[in-house]
Amino acid sequence: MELTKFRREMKKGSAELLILALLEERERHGYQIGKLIEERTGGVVQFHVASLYPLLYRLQKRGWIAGRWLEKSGERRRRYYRLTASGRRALSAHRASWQEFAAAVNRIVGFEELPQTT
Amino acid sequence: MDWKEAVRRRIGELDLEPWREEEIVEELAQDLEERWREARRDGASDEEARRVALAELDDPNLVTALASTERRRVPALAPGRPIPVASGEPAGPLAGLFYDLRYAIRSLVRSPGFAFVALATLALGIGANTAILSLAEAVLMRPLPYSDPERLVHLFETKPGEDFSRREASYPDYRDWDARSDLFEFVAGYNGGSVTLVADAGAERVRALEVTDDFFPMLGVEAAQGRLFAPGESGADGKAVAVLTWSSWQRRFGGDPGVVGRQVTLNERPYSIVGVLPRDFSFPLRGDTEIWLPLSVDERRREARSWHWLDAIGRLREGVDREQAEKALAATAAHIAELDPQWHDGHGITLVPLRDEMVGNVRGAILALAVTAVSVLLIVCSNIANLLLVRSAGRGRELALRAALGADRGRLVRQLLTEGMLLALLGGLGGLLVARAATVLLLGHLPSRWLARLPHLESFALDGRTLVLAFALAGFTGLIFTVAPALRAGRLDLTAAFQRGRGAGSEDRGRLRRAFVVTEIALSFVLLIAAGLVTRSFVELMQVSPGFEVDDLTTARVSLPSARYQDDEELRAFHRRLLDEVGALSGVEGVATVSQLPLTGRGDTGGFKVRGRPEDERTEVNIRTVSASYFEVLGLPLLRGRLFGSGDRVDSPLVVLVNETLARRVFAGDALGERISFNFFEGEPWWEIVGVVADERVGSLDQDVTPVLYFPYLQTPNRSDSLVVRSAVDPSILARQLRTTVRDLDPQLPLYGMSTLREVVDDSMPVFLRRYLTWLIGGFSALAAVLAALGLYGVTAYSVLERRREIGVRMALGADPGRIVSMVISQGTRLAVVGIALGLAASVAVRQLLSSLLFGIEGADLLVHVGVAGLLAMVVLAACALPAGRAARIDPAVALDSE
Repeated sequence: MELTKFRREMKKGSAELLILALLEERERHGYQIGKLIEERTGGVVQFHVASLYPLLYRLQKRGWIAGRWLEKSGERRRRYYRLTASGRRALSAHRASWQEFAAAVNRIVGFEELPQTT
Repeated sequence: MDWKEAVRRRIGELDLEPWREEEIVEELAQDLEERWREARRDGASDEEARRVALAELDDPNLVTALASTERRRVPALAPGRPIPVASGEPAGPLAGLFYDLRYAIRSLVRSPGFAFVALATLALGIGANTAILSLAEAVLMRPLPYSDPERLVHLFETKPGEDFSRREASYPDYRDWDARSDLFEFVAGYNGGSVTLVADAGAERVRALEVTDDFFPMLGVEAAQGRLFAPGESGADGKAVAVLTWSSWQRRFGGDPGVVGRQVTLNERPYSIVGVLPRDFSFPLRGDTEIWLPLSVDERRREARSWHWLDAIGRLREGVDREQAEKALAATAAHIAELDPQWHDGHGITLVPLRDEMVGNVRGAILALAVTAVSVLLIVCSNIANLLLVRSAGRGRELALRAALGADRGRLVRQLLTEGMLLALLGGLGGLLVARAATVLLLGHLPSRWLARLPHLESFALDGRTLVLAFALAGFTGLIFTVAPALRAGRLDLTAAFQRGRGAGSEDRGRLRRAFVVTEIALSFVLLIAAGLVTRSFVELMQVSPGFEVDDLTTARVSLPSARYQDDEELRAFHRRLLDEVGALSGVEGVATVSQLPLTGRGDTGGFKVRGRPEDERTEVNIRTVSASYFEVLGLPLLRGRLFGSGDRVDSPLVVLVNETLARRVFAGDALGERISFNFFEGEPWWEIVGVVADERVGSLDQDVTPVLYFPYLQTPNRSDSLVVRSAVDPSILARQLRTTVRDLDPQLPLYGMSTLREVVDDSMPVFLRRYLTWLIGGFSALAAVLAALGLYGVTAYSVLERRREIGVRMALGADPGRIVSMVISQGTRLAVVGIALGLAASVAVRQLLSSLLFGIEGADLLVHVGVAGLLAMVVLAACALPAGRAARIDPAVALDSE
């Protein structure tokens, strides 16, 4: 129980970073973003529809990402998000502080093996 | 699976900008669908896959999170308040209602003008109806405060075809009625009057009622304190015991718990108080009674069959109905006629349900008022329905959009119903406030003695019944004015709505709106007719001369106690001093006394025989005892013979005066010198008719003039008389002078019933009732006309708006603005004509309803009908003129461009 809660907090803290990072490579639609996060974290981090989209909208409102409807051939239109210039700046700042934070945490817990969850 | 609807259900309450809502719905729905598809690929059943996908939405923070990023269409009602969201799936239909309600509140807030007009008229309509129907229920329907009140009947003796066709019992009659124990459990008698109560504060005249000892058992009432009357306490020699009403116990004795056994001095004789009546007891037939005494019957009254003075109420035996009893009583009447053919030949006995006797002709007034109020409410409903129809037209795009996005028709209808019901509910709440005010207004304008004389009015208060009534009315009106617009929305044609930018089916809607306006005009026509008829009756009634000059007359009453004024000589001495002293007051032009004031309908009646005519030819007439100055002071002209003079004394020949009606009826006009005798005088002496005076109205203004006979005070002194003073002095100053004068003559003598004769006329039932209704129905019908005008204006203005393109084309093609104006006006006028025609047909029923209130109106009143039609025509023109003018000013270029 305690561990799940811990993870939830971690996820909350890192969610924005994850999304911004994924959009750095290319523009994606919401379902892709959700799927990629799930795959690349091996299922450790997952987003519900109910939490992913509000997060996207918040980032969009802040001006870090921009969404637009695109109709690709043979498909129905979907909403794609891309990173904006200010999003890029925010991503590098986030990244820096994440690294700093992770390093600091590791300095304390890093020598011991984290308990395996699998 | 409709994923969009699933999303929309969860975020709909946010009331986002429609385009943004649609974006979000689309985006999330796609995602859900993908997830569903994925789950299916992984081998899940359709059902499982669906659950998996839907679980994605199960986040209580979804709405809160969206609320923080997305722009809402309207600011939330209370900014900053978190939006309550049930965790997980909102539960069933209630959640839907919750969303509908929020939406409805927002849509009202968005159009404050509409909300204000709708709520104000609704509150007025519901409030007025609540007040009037509550009063009607109390007076006409609520059971009287007695046990099994429906078995109580008032008994009267009848003689068909006479002026006094319905009268009280004589004591022997009463005994014979009481003997019919096969029909009645009890027959109890009562006789009203007043007594002089001497208390610390001085002498005071108080309403008292003498009743037979079975009176309270007959009503089924028991004492709250002490006891009521015991068998044998009334009769030949009434015991000196008294029962108090609750209010008199509270007011005069401060609710003293030891009041039973205390003594009071009534008519200068000691009485002991034996009991107090319950708080909710009332006896509207003598509503202002404070003290109840056992009936005392002296020997003369005990024997006299011709002396009708005792009122009687009976309790029918269980299983005996009124008609049966009335039929059975024919035998009793025949028996009485046999015993006393001279006075009772051809007489019958009639039974009137007690409530009918109490309510009398007020019933017609109350019903008229209730129908008026309900009509106004219907007009209010039509108006709001019209406003809603216009709104639903304006909201065509919104509704179409919602429908297109997947809201089903039922959902839209439900939304509109919710909006209507919310409106009605708020109107009902406002109506409660209006009802409170209206009740105060309605009751406040009733003379206080009237409150006590109608059942349940004195203690009337708005209670649970009122609450239920107000909300029932609200629900009813809500249904009336929402059903049409809601059904209309259910039939929305989407394509047309999008194309034209407003609701389709506008032809249909137009027809409906015109029907509402026709209804409004018809109803207001009917109400205006009712107002016109009542006003006309009131005016006609006020044209009726009471026979005397009403202004500058003040009256008050004096009663001389038998303990200190024992014989006629003492009465005469006081009477002379009273007239002398009052006559000497500065500003007093004349003073007189009369045993009963005109227009009150009260007073003795008696029968006389004429010398030289057969014994059994007797005539019943009103009897008045007056001072010689009476006719001069009132301004009643002498027609023939002479008035009373100072020479008509106790030792001179006995003389009487008669009014013109009596002279005509009994003596074919030539009454002078005729001699008549009355059996209620000792030795039945002969009296000579020495003069004929003009008619005064002793009964009410709306009744026929009755025969009246006047005795001179000096020859038949009276204990209780009304003083009538003619003076231009201010009545309140005069009142003070009169009180001082009487106190100087006898400090223990109360002067009571002080008022001006003008007040006597104005407060008399037929005058007051019609004046009251003239104002009320007049006010309501004016309101109705204004509402109907607003409705007509709305319809006309809207149709001009709808047709502005067409009008533009006409103008562009050279139509004269005058033609456009007449086109618009004639459209409105057509509606008005149909409305008035319908109203005309309905006004026949109105006359029927008002029949008890009409006076001086023969047949269909042309003046009123033409007047009302003319008035309404002007209102119609005024309502159409504005939109017509606007139509004429339409700029063809702009109109053609606008679509």
